Amino acid sequence: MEWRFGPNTFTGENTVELYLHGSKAVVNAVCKSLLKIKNIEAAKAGEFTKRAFFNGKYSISQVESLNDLINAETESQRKLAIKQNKAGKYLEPIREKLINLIAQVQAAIDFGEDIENQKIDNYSNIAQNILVQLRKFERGAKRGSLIREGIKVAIVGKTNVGKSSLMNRLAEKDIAIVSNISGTTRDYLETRLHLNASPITVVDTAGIRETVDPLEKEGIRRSFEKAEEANIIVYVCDAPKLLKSTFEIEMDEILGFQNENDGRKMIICLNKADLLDQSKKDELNQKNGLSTFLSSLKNSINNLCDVENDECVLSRQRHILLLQESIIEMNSFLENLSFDQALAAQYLQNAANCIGEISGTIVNEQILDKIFSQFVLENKVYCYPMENILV
Amino acid sequence: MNPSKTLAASKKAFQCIVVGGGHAGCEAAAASARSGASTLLLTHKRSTIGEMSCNPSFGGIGKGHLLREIDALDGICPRICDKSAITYQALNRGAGPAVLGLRAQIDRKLYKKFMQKEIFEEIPNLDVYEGAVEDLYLEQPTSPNGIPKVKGVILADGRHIYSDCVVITTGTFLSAEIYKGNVTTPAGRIGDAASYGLSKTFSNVGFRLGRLRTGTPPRLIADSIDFSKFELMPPDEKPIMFSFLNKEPWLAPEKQYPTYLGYTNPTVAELVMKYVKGSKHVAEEINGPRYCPSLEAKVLRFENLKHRLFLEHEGLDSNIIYPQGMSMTFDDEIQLAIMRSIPGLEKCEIVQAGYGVHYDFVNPQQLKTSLETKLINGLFLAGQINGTTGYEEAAAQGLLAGLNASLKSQQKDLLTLDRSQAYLGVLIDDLTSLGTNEPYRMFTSRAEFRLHLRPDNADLRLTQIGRDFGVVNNHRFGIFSELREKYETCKKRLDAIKFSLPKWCQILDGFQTKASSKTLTAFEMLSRHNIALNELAKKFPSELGAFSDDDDLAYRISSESRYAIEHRRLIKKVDEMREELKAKLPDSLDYSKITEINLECREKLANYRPQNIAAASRVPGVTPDVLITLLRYAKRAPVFI
Repeated sequence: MEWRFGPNTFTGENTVELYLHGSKAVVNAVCKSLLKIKNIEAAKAGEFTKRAFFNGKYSISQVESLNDLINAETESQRKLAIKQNKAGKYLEPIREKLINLIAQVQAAIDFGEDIENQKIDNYSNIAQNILVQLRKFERGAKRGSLIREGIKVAIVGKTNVGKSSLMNRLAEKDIAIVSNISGTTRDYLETRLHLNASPITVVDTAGIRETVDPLEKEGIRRSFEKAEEANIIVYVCDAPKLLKSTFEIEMDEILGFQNENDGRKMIICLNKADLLDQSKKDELNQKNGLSTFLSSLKNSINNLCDVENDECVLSRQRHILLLQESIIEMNSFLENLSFDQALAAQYLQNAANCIGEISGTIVNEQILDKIFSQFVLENKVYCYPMENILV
Repeated sequence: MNPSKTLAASKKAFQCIVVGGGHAGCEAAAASARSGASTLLLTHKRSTIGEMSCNPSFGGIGKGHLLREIDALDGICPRICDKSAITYQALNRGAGPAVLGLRAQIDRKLYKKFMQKEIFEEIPNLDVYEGAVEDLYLEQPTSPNGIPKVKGVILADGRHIYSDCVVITTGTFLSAEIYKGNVTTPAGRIGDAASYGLSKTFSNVGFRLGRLRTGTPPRLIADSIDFSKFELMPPDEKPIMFSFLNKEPWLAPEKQYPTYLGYTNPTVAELVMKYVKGSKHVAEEINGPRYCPSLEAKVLRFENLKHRLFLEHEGLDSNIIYPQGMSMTFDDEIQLAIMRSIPGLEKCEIVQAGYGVHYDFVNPQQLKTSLETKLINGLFLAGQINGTTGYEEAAAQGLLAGLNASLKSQQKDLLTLDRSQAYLGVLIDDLTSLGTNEPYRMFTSRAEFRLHLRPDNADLRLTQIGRDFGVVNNHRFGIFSELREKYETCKKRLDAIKFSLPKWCQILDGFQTKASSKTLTAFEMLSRHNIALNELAKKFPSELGAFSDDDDLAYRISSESRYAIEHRRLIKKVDEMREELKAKLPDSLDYSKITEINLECREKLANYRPQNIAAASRVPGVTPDVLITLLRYAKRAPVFI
């Protein structure tokens, strides 16, 4: 048994820890006995974390990241969870910069008469600097969200090129039915697996061809849909049947999947290469085999999930949206700064609110109260002779 | 003594008594009388009514907003300012209409003259007596949980005056002490006695009191100043009046006086540092106004800085100059040495030295938002006694306290304003909910709804409310109604004119914009593409012809247009926050699809099916993290329905 005293405990409250023999019967018996003592209740699930949060041990973002750690499926998710724990810390400097800037702009509005020149250029430089960082965070967040939610790989191509076989090879078990009959796969099929310690979802899709069969048509429509959703598209071709002329037409089909700047990767897989003539094999001069394909898939995954070490990793969709919103607000600030500072200051506050929401420094219902009191306090610190601070 | 007997025996009783004749007191007495209560204003000296005890100016950033709100509620001081202004210099003219700071130098003598005329002659229902209030006449509660009820005031000479509603506006006079050099004198203002009795009364009833300090600079003789050494600040070419009822200044801009800008220097700092050690005023741990700090405080904090000072005329025929920014409490000869070390003031003469005041204030957390105290029924407080600083802050509170005392005496509903309606609402909410530990001054950054709470729309925000509560008279309401009618019609017609941008390019001469098929109303065109109302009126004469060449209307409408989007967003956000805890979770919400929440928690939520976020927070295992996730689904409700 060990006594631990707050605030240096997980919840911040005084805690007693009991070390018991691992048998469930012993644990249950002890719990039962404890519950007979007056004023002792069993903790509700999440109660420790909640108490830790309310006792100021964790900010919302730390709680979120703790949740991820508990649920971490893979090594890279675990690493990400640990990184995110630092989200508040990473964002703190930029939030501070924002609040300082707000204080300066507010002071320029409220203390116009005491300030020498309203240094609009200076404000806009600071804002530009903040924008650069926000954009960097946004890029990192997009990568983080891939790690968290898993990368989607769609296997697409014409009928009977061996997509399902490839899927089975990747999964190392027979998930999809394979046959040499064109159009065996009528609907898409998903499987989750780990590659490079990252979770990925592989989708096998129905082969694409002209058809009148309404069922198959629907399957093909879904193939296109899956390709749209995927982060990596594996385009499978039947190598022996591939002719230079038709390949270009096929490429058009492939390019149809690829939007210009969405950062999606595409791997072209020439399947059934073992059936090629030796001369063609030489002509292609490609290394072959599944291991080559795997390494190029891994490369693409690494590219997508590359987490720069000094970069704050925010992986939730919420974070990405808030970062994007804050970027829009900062741009509006810059547009309005020279002609309406009241309006500009509002945009700046909106941006700070977004960042505050991510770092969890501000929980929704407290936004105004907290921000307001912080800004006013900050104002007081900076306001009186602004010349001193701005020089 | 049986109070009911005394009441019956009294000859003179008023529905409302206002104690103090400063800015809060005058406004309170006028509002009380205007809204129908027989009112008595009690002051130490009739002759000091309308005295501007510190700076010879009204307004400023945030403060100008308060003045417009006072005017919108038919208060008196903005009108009187316009009658006695000698320099209009608005601040922040380039920073947007929301933060425009209406400001003017005011002739002290004229202000006092016109204020006394107003108070003594022009307000029916209002009496003014001289007398020092020493105590409150209270009726003790009959039930153990009750609070005392005010029944009147007791004067120093023992007279009782009866009333069920009393407004106290004694400013800095409660247990006031004047500091100069090392000398401390009990007084509220140079030449005016302090008030100790009321301080004692407040303590006895259990009010928590605090102590604050303030100060005023030495006054200089104009003839002794070489103004050429200062930067000349001319009056505005297009002066902006305080009152919505006034269009033109009484004194043409070319006849108005300039102000002068100068700076402190190392000699000033040296002298301050040398003598500040002996200063009792600064040494004591009492909070002074941080935004209008004494010279001592400024130099102590930023010794090496050049601090700004403004020379301001005290009046048209006054030979006195007020050096704004130079408030100090040194001995007379040190003050003179400091002033004379500034270029242009080498030969200056001081008429009255600067001094500091320490005074008691009542912790305003003990007030309701109507400004009635929570501790004594029928007792209202307004002005510096609540911990504020500034004429405008005092006057605005005075108006509300006087009106509410009057309404209470007539058994009517009291008026309260919230943060989204007025700066006055912000001020009162800040004071009553947070209290203050330094003299509270109004700033625009204190108002979340700054983009909406503008000087230009104060009447549109408040005059109807004031009318409903009986404090706006017929004359003003008539003028206002006409304006509102015009404004609303104009706005409606602008909203109805709607074209795509390419079409707008054809309609408006010389207007070009990037190809976009966006449709905008004429109201939106005002701010999004900076189109003047006059120009629109030319193109749509039948709809808008009636609104051309009206600068005031054009300014109001374009300001409204400029901030409309952001204001709507802000309102939405605040409503959202208020609603968030009540946010409904759709019945059809499929928890198994919310993968951001862990499985165990999803199952629990699916079992409990909480109706709203507040209920969800009580589901076992739901952490703040989960709540935040849920909030997003509550907002996205339509997707799941």
